[in-house]
Amino acid sequence: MSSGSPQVMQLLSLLLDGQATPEQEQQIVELLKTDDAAVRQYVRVMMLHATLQWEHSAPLAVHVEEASPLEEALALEAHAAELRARREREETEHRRDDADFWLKLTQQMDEPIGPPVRHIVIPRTTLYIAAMLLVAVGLGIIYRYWPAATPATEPPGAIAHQPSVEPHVTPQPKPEPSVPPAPIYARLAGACAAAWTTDTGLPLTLAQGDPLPSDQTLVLRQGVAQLAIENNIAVIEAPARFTVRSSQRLDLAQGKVYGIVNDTARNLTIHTPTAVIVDLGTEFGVRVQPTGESDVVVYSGRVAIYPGATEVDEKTPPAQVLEKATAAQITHTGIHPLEPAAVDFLRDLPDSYTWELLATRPLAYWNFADSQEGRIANLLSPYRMTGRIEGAALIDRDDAVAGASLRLVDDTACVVIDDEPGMDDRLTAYTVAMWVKPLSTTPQNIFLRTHSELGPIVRFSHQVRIDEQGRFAHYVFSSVDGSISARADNYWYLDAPATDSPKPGEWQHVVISAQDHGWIRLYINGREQKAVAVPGRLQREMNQWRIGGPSGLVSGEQSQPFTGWVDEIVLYDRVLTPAEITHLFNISPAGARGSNPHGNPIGP
Amino acid sequence: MDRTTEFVQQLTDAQRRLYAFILSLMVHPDDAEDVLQEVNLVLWQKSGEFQPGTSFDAWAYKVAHLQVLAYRKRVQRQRVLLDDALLARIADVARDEMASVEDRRRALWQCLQKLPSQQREMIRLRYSPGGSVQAIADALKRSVGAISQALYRIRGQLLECIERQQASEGKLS
Repeated sequence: MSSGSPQVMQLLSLLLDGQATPEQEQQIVELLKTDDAAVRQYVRVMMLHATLQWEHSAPLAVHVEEASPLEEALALEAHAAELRARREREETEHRRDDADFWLKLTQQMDEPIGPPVRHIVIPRTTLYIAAMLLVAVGLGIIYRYWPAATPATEPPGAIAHQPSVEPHVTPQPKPEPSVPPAPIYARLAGACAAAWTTDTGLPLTLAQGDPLPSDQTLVLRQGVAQLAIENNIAVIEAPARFTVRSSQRLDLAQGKVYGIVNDTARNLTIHTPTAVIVDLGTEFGVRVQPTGESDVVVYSGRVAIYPGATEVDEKTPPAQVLEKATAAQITHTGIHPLEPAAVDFLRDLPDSYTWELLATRPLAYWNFADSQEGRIANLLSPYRMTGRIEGAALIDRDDAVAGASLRLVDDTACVVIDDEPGMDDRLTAYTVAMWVKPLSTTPQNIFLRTHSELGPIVRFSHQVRIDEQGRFAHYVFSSVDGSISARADNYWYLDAPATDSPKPGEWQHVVISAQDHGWIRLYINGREQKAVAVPGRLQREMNQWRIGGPSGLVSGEQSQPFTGWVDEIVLYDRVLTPAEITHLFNISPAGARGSNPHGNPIGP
Repeated sequence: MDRTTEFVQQLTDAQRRLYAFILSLMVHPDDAEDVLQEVNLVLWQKSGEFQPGTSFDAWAYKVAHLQVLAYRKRVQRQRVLLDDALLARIADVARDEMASVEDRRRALWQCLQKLPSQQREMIRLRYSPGGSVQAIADALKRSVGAISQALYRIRGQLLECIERQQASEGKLS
């Protein structure tokens, strides 16, 4: 469809830019008077003009915060007084012409004060109304000049304050642009579920390869983005607010950045509210918390820290140099030690499946895609809950599955994952999800929790197994609050077997969950199989997870280790709802695990 | 949601549309901004007159139209381009068109991304605070006429693109 007459378009464009001559203005008027299509075109051009005008307006120096009713009322009265004064000045000049019209328009609003007042007066005693009026007007101002403010995020009592400016809001003085567009130092290399805005809340659509404007603060409200800054890479996690200053400088006001410096000749410097952080040929992560504290974790190489600095040069000695596998927190009071595992960073751009999975806030996630030298990486952190391969377990590729999986070849195969500190106390509840491809239905231990010294024959729980009847089962030891003492350590077993039989040679999604004084549950392919009440506390005093390997039996005998495939193990320190478990099952990449649309060999 | 909260929400939601409506009648952004603030105040003062369940926008446009007329009479600081009759005609059409302003805004952002970067930058310079044809011409060391012509072409392309987007989504009448 055409956007209208080029002649009208050209005249209107001149009009909007203040370039139309009086003759051209008259031409526009004549066209509008005689041509309905021109009127519609005019309105659409004005809508375009208004939208661009609105969206590009710079934010005023408004400050949004919680204010007391008294503050609101005072600000409101100042605003009303200004309007009143202005209107009185104008009315004095034009009283003769517009008195009747204006009186008609405003008499109702003036009624509380009584005639013959013509200006707007806000009742002093009605603070609530006053506050609401300010909110109404203030929000209008905010919406006009600060598009980031939305009803969903605005605190209920938020108002616009301009303590150092006259109450009547007028557009900022208009600086003349005098320099050409800033050079481009960074491009968007990729993104996952990313939602962008400008610092003022203006929505931005950025595609892969798009240049990122320099010296303009960008807000990544959701998702993850990967920036290419010259030859270096920065992975940014939302919510983040940052500015690319140069090919070597990124200002991070909030959020997480993982830097990969490929070009050792050009260091990447991160400026945060509390420090300047300079890489020295490295991989490192920086998190700036909303309060301004900066956490730095070094994954390789070294990083120099300049607390409180705003600019540094080669001659400036750093306050501290962090080595690989160390971390620090920089506050306004100085540099403080930090555990490297205290902050997790995404070191690569996740695919949409991984992103959705991470959005469920797991404690650990092993997908076997980033494993080397006998180590099974926890995707969330290289410094905690990393698995180690023992025996004939290997990372392999199954033709039915995209990417790598863990294959347990024989009864020597096992992966051992040590706890992070404090986990045992935290596990008052848990959920473990995994994809499993057994090769038979003989009794086997697939996954369990144990104690590193006592071993899985003596102490185990939180187990996924194939039981003596050839069923998947969730096997848990629980204390018994009462007199029953079935075992020496006062724990008794709870068994939740599946009704759906395992299918040898097929991938199946298995989820177990349990909670102190709650329920143990088992789900196969998103469908709940069995729930058993937990009479007391779940077994504690364990410090290790194991994939495969032997385990004890209630009879005291030893079960067979698992042989087969395991993948996508996700651990939570909470009980997922049935809906969340169905979601986990459904988000699995299509085609990855079989023939149905969800990639699952067995439908829920 | 109580009535006051609902009213405030409707008022804030309507800001973009009100600004577009008023600008259609005022042409000059500074005037439109002044009137928008006055309209907000009047709407709030008259909030008791608004009947929930009726169209907030229709009521707000009516008030805005009256405010524009009042403003024009009150601030006769410059020659008025559009007479009252033509203004009423434009207001009628604008009321219809405003129903699609949010869709058109979304389409605009997609269309902006399709522009070559130089053209996008031209729009940014023009509509950023202080942006004017003269300022851009000075900054880019080009003639005012060339910048005007470029802006005309870019606006034309954006409108074409918006119309296409609207048509493809079945939102164009």
